[in-house]
Formats: sequence, structure tokens, C-alpha cells
Amino acid sequence: MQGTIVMPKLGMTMKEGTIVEWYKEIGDPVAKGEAVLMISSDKLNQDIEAPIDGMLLARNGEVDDELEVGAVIGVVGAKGSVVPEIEKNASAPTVTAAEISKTTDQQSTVEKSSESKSARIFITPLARRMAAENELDIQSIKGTGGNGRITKQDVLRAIAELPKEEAAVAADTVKTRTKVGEGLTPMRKAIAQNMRNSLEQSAQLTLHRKVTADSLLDFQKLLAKEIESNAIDARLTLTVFLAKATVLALQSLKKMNATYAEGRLTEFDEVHLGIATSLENGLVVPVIQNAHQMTISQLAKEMKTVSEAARNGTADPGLLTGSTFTITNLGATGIEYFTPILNAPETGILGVGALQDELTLTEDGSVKVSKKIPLSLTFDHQILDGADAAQFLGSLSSIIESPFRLVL
Amino acid sequence: MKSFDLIVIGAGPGGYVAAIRAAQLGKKVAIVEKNALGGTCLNTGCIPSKTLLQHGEAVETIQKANDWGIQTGEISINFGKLMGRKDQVIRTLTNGVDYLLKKNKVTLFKGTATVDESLVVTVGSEKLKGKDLLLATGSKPFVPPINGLDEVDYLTTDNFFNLEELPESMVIIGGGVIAVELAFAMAPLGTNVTIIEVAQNILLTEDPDAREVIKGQLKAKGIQTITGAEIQRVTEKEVVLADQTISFDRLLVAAGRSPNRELALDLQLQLDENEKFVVVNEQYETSKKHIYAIGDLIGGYQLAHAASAEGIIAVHAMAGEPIQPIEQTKIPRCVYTQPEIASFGLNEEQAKRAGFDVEVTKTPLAGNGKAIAMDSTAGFIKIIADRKFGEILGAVIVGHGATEWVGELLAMKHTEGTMHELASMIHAHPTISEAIGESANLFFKQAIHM
Repeated sequence: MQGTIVMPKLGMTMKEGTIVEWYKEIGDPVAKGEAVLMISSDKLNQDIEAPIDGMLLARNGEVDDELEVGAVIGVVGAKGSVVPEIEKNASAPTVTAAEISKTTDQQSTVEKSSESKSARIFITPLARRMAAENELDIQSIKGTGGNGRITKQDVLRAIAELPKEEAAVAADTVKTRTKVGEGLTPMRKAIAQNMRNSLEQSAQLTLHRKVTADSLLDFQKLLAKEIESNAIDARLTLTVFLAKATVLALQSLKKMNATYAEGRLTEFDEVHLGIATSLENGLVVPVIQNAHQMTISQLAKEMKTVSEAARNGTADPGLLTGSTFTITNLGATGIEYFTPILNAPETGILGVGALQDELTLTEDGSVKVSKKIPLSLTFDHQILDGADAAQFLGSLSSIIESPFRLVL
Repeated sequence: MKSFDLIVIGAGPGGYVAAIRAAQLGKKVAIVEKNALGGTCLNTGCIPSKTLLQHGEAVETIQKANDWGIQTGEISINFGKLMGRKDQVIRTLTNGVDYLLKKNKVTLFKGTATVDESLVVTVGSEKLKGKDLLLATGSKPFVPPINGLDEVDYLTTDNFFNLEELPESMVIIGGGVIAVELAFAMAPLGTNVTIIEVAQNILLTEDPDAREVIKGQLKAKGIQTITGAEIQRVTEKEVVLADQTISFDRLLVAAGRSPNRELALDLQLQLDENEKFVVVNEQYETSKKHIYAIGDLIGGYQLAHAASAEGIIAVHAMAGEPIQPIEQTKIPRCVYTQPEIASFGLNEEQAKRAGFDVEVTKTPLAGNGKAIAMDSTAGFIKIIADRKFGEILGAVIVGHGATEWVGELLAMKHTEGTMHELASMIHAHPTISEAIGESANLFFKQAIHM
């Protein structure tokens, strides 16, 4: 009996994974469930376990090799048994870990059909390469060459006949996959692709506004005391309050709590809040699901949990996707204003800067020191206009200035 | 008045091929020819020149053999007999065309055709009416205006092949493919040949690397090549240039060909912007309905096989069948020098301009076993390909027999094979064409013998 280890699909967007470390040499005994190697997707690292008891018979790749999702990474079996030939990027006959990507799916159908006599597909080598590059299903292409052979012209025609967006997306993904982020680590590659994609797909504009935080800071102190005396385990950072304020502001302007992709604008009632988190070698955006249902202390706990998981690389893949709005905080680094890049396909992202001391005139004409938070709101001008964004910043500011609204 | 489905005017390789195919498609076909069947190709072009070149090559083979150790006496040339063989070759082929026309029930009318407004074709006393008309009138040697040329008994390819005596010396005005081929044919027979070209270089239509190989061979054969020449005048025995005078026994003017447009002008067909060639669409129909034109008359590559291919497409279009337009990049171009040049498709610059990510591989024949054994290592294989899919975009082969084995590359391109297939294909050993496989592997940086 033999079991294959295949590259798992760790998230909707994962197409390939990189071998980070082999824990086992060929010939080493392994137990079912024991970690054999570590792989990394663009977002996180994961140990891959042996599917059965036995010994590691084959390794199909070395450290830093990139394999497609579904590709066979290794074979575990009884000592001395014959290792089947593994081709790089070949799809496994038994895929245990995850679904196979679309590409692999198509390839296997094609192989199947060319085996059955009745459905033999004639296609020129050049046409086959072009179809594969554009991820076209050759069964759906009409051949006009001799014997109904599919030619280069037929493939070009099929590409031209793709619905416009699909063609653009196909061309785009091809371009993105082959060029953007080339030569970078998997994480940087993913960041490169996401950032480029974001800037290409939306019309980004950033508004800046300062908001007085004196009341919020007082409120923070007050709540901190309450928490201490009630022995609640939560650290109420300023970011937590801002997150709560943002959730409330988003519920009053749903256009800002929306995604726009593939020709579809979706406004959400629920707020899934992305929190940009910097790592040693990049950044990830863990998501607080259903942030609109959480109290401040729940938010605080959840933020701590997800950001720790993200930093350790142990976040569940589901935790890293699905946000409807994102907050990025550069306050700790002393930055005041900046122009955050949208976390596509979201329509807004809030940048938080470092607290500033400012002299202000009070109502009675005396001068006092006041704390201000610089806010930078980037929005997609395709979906919203400056007035909408200003309105959002306005309602966010009024909540921050009247922080009791956070708990009402 | 006799009625036909199609009347073809001109029985060269464009016209007779089209006529036969139309007959095969069930049409009633007439063909009109004022000279000999087979046109320029069979009578004053491809075929007689290849016959003479074969004679020249035989002489050189004997000379080489003497170097290797096969001793013969002095070679003597019976020029009359050689020309007799050439006539026999032509006769065999023109008889063949005659037989094929009869076999396919194509009616041949000998004489000069005129066509009136209502598309009635008159040949002598015969009046013919066709549903469709195909002009395949070909071309004639172009004679540039040169002082004194009118008063001199010069040759063109129309009468060059009727020479009865081997000239002691010959000047060829022109440095294109025809001129250079005839220089290669005549020099080995003992004629002292000088090529005079007004342009800055010879063989301007060919790949620069190929040109250099051929220039080396011209020099080795003692053929003098004068480029950038300023021809002041021509006299009975001399060509006077600005800086020197070249004397000759015979003078050949081979400076290109111009289309036979008389009928096209009578019919007021639309011409191209230079007023030189007849304009046609992808089905080879002219500006007038039911009048088609092919071959040298419409420009493009003025080659026999291009004319034949055009003729075939034209008659299928007339029959209302869907046609695949000719791709110019799949038309081979051959120069029958020694070594031969065979090429097709895009050169590096054209491929880059067309937006391809171009990779050019070049493999010399110097290390090729068969070429070394044959004492024929001059030449190379150059393949122009696209990096992305390995698509074959063009190729230049310079080598012994190149015009035959370019077919391998053409077949690969025609069936849309790529450099991947070319590299993994098993070539016979020892052959000169092995170098194609080597060149394909070079594309993947995996050539073995380089």
C-alpha cells in the first residue's frame, strides 16, 4: 500500500506552494499523521503529514521548489515497494489533502478523452501550448485544420471569442503570474501581486483628517480601570477603540463596507474587519469575522488572537480572507499621514497615524494641549465620491469625539 | 463562340496548374499560351538554369575528386552537347504539361489573347467566352536604361539559354538571385564571369550571413563582383564604369523581371500604388468581378511555386469553396548557388517588429559529419523562433542540398510543430539535416555538438 503526499490548497487563491523544509529523508520511517515536510503558500506555512504508516519512498522536489496545488510532493509506502514514476506537476491519482485546481482538472479530463477512441482530439503542438497558456478547454475549441485539427488560428479565435472580462482576466492572470513578483519569496510575491492588482483595478484617492482624541483617551483609561477591577482578560489598545468606531461608521455608510470585483458591487451588512499586520518579512491581513457583533472586549481578544496567529504563521487560511474593510495602523512608527493601498476588492481602507500633541483654543479662549489622531482614508473613486468619503470620516470622527457611543 | 467555365491566360506554373485543378473540380477549362507550355519556369527560368548548374557542379565535383585522389585527364567541355541535354530536359517537361492538360481535358489555344469589355477572349480566329477569367501572364526580363545598350547584342534570360557557344568571358549586369545563379553555372565551365551590380551589395533579398557565404564562394570560383558600380555606357565589347572598363565576350542583363500587364491595362484593372502590379483580394480576384490574377503579375514573391499555390486557391474560390489564404511566411525561397540558400518566414528584425520574443539559433555545418565527408562544409542553419511557445517563425539554411531539406522545417511549421517537437525529433545520421536538430536543441541550450 502506498500513499501520496500532495500539495494542499490552503486558500481560495492558492495556486502553488513552496517546499520550506523536509523533516524526513528518503528511507526514513514515518507514522500516519507525522509531519513529513513544511510547505508555504503565499500567506502561511503549514506542516504536511504522512497519509499512512510506512517509510518515505520518494521526494518530488527540494527546498524552495514551487509545486502546483494537487501536485505530488512525496510517496509513503511499505519498505522496498516500487515507487511509481512521479512527474513534476502531475496530479495525484488520490488527492487527499484538498481539491485540485482548475488547471489540473482540465488536464485530467483531456487525458481521459484522448484515451477514449471516439473523442480523440486533434490539435497541433503549437495550438496545444497556446491553449494551455490561456487555460482554454480544448474540447470546446472547434478545429478547422485537416481532419478537424485545432490550429493556432482556432485558438486565437477562441481567445477572441472569450467574454471580454474573462479574456482580460485571463490575460491579466497570465501576466500577473509570469511577471509580477517574479524572483521574490512567496510572501513578497503575493504582496507584489495583490498591490499591483489593487492599483490596476481601482481608482484610489486618499482623504486626510485629524480628529481630537482627548475624550477617547479618557474613555480608554476609564474602561481600562473597569477591566482591571473586573479581572477581564483584554488589552484595550487605541486600535481596538478605533476598530469599534470604524465598525459603527461603516454601518452608517454601507458603500464603504463593500467589494467591487468582476463587474459586481456587493455591499455588506456584516463587517468583517481586516487588520493589516506587519511580519518580519512582509505583511498579512488577518480578518475579524463579524466584527459588528462584538463588544469592545470581544474585539480586543479577537484582534489579539488573529494577529498572533498571523505573526506565528499558524493562522487558519480562512482567517486571512473575506474582509470587507481594512484598518492599517502605522502609529507605532511615528508616521502621521500616508496613502494606504486598498486591500482589493474592498472599497475602503483606513490608515491610522501616530497621536499628535497640538495646542488648541478652548471655548473660553484659553490654550490647552490636545491629542489628535491623523486619519488617512483611501477609497475607490469608482464606487464612492469625495463627499461620501468625507461623510464617512465625519461620522468616524464624531464617534471618536463622543466615545460613549462605542458602548451604546 | 466557344463557351467555358474558366479561361486561363498563360500556361506557366501558375496558369497550367490552376487550369488542371479547375478541371479536376469539374469545370470546362480553356488555356491560352502564346509561347511554349510551362512558361518562364520551364523554358527560360528555373529548369534550364538548374540544368546548367548541374553541369557546373559536375565539373567541380570532378575537380574536387582529382584533389581527393581520383585522377582524370583534363576536362573538356562540349557546350553544344550540354545545351542539347538542357533542351531535352525542357522538352520532357513541356511534353509532360501537354499530356497533363489533355488528360484533364483542358483545351489549349495557341496564340496571343485579347480580351474585350464583355470578357470575350480572342485568340487568332477563335472567340472564347468564359464565366471566369484567370490572368497568369507572368513577367519578362527587366532591362534597365543604360547608355548604348540598345545598339549592343546583349542577352537576357529569354535568349541566354539559346547560346550555342561557350563564351570566353561574360559580364552580368545585375546582382540578384538570377544573376548570381547563372554566374555559378557558367564559371565552372570555363567562362570568365564578372558580376556588375549598381546597388551596394549583391543578393540583397537574402540573409546577410548567407550572402557572406556566397560571396566567399564567388571569390573562390574566380568570379569578380563589382558592387556600387556606376555604369556610364555599354559598347560592343566593353562595359564602361566610372573607374574601370570591363571587357566581355557576351553581355547578360539580369536585373529583375517586370510583369506582363498588357491585358490588365486593356481591362483597366486596378494597379498597386506604384502602378506596377495588379491588385487582388485574398481569393485573387481583381477589381473586376470574375477576373482573377495570379503569379508574377500580382507581385509578392515572384516564384513558380507561389504562382501555383495562388492559382489553386483562385480556382477553389471560383468554385465557391472556403479557402485558406496563403501565409507568406510559409513560402520557401531558394537560391541555387553552391552551397544553396533556402529560407522562409520572418527574419530576426521582422519577427521582433511583429512583437515576438525572438530567439535566433545558428548552427554552422563545419562540424557536421556528412558535410565533412562530402567536402561541403560551407554553410549554416539559422532558425528564428518565438521563446514563449517555441513557434518557428523563419529559417535560413545555407548548405549542400539546402533547397531539398528545408522541407523538414517547412513541414514542421506547416503542421504547427514547435521547437519542442523539432528538438525531440530523431534525425538520421549521418545527414547534413542533422544540423536542424542541433539548432533546435540550441534553442533550449542543449545542443550536443556545439
